[in-house]
Amino acid sequence: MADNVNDPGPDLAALQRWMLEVVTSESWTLDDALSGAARFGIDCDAAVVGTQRLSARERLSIYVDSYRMRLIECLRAEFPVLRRFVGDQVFDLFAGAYLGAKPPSSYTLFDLGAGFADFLDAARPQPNDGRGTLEALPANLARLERAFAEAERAPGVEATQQSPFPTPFNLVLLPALRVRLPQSLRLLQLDFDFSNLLAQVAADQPFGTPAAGDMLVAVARSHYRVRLHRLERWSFSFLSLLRDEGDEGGSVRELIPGVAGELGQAQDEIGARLFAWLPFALDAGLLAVA
Amino acid sequence: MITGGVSDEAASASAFRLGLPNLGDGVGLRHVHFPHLMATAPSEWGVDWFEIISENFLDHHGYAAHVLERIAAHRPVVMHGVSLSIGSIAPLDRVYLRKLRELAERIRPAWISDHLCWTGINGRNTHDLLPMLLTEQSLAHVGDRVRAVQDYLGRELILENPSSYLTFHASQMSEAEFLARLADATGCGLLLDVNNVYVSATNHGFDPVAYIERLPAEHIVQIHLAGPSDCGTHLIDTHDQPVPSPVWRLYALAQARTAGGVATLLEWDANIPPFAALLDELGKAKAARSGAMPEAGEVRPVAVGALSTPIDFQLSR
Repeated sequence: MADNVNDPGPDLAALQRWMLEVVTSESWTLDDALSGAARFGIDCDAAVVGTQRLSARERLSIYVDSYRMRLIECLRAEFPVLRRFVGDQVFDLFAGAYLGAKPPSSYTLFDLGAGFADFLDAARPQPNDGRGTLEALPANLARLERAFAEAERAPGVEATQQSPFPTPFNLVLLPALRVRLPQSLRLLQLDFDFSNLLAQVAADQPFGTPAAGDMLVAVARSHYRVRLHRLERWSFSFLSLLRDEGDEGGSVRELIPGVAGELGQAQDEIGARLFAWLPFALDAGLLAVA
Repeated sequence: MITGGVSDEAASASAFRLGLPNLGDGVGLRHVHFPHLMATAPSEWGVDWFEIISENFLDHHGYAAHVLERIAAHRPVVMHGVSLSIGSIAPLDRVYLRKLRELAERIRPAWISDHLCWTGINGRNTHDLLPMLLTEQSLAHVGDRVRAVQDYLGRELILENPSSYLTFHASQMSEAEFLARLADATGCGLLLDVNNVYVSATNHGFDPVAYIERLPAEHIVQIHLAGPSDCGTHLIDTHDQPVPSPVWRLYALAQARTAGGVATLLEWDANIPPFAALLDELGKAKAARSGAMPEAGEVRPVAVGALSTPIDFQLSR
């Protein structure tokens, strides 16, 4: 071990700074990565033990290659539908560029994909053609898949689903009875209808390009299953207004005027729709009793 | 044989390491086995205990947390982390430590372990177990951090020897000596991964038997078993295949050094087999402890692209 009797070599801090720079480098070759880390004054062959089987550089390459592969694998696992849709080569280009722009900083790999959709959105050629074009699809799909991942882990409604739900009558008419959005709910306004694509990829079937169109959806968890729910304007509006009420929630009755006003519809009509919809919404994890 | 959740062998073991029990034979809790474990009565699980990857359950309030709740109600659980970064020059991540402590308060693990490594600095986490420079300076640095973590968690930290693919000229001692002195200085426990010893010994050309004999047996509280992959020029710690013969021999040696035995954990983190097959592999540990070497092959070769520290088990989907 002690082959450095006369030369103490680099200290712990210097070595870690150098190695991190090389391992996480965006360079295409190890030589370039080492050049990029030259400011640390550490020579690879002088720092890393090489043998006949593997040189110092080859040993360092194991960590360099693993870093990128591991994180791309992680993104592939979190965005399986996007990966299938664009193919491995394009997906890995997206992922590699994202990792370069936003290297992991969290203790959990779950956080790695948090900014992927925003990155894809920002990476669209500018000026872009707006919503609903093919260029907008990857970011839209990434946003939806991230919503699934978040809904899977967030606090949900399972504990409260054990007890009987209030009747729709009470929910609509009693101001004291408040409802709230579960933390496991994600409301999204998408430019494509991804429902067929999700089903086809899950069933490993051939798929086409999703139809463009304004899609209001919720990703919700119920009984530990995460599902995509297509919403109508009034239910999306209701859930959006409820979201503004925070964890305290709000009474259905008090929210109805806001929904009716936003959509230009009669309050009675919205109330009737809610009356029929609320039992389903509670069971599906779209809302919870506050 | 399983009786009331703990094997006879484990229940009769009298030796304790740092006051910690021999939990018997366990497996890593992986999401592919959730349906089986939830559909099967705990008396039929066939394992004495489970090890979780701590990070998988931090901030998790979904099905995985629900499964863990059931598991922890019926079996001892150990929290095994990959993000403590005990060897890093960066300050300890207080948020991570707080969440680790909160999870421990919730599931009451038998102990909490992580690796002798660093995972990043400057706000970056490589999510890899990067190799340590093994110097007096490093030893003092890691010792201070182990003490700080132990004070914060209110319990001994258990540290695992990682697989490594490079060493540094500037290192002044072997990894075994580093761990032995660290354990002596801090009172921390050791998680002896005999697969990692085999991988590193092969990659760096040291004697794995001497490595194990250098470790203080009284500090070893757990042993990891796993199968690596042969890349031709080196071994990679892939956890994706059965435990090979050389690793079983090291396992038998390690158990023989720890009078009364220590807890055994089989890791299988990629190409994970059905639970029954996992139990078959775990069952070989008992034979190995009794002196009968289990039937096992050599390390299997792998094509390019083998990934150390596989990520399948770190993701819940």
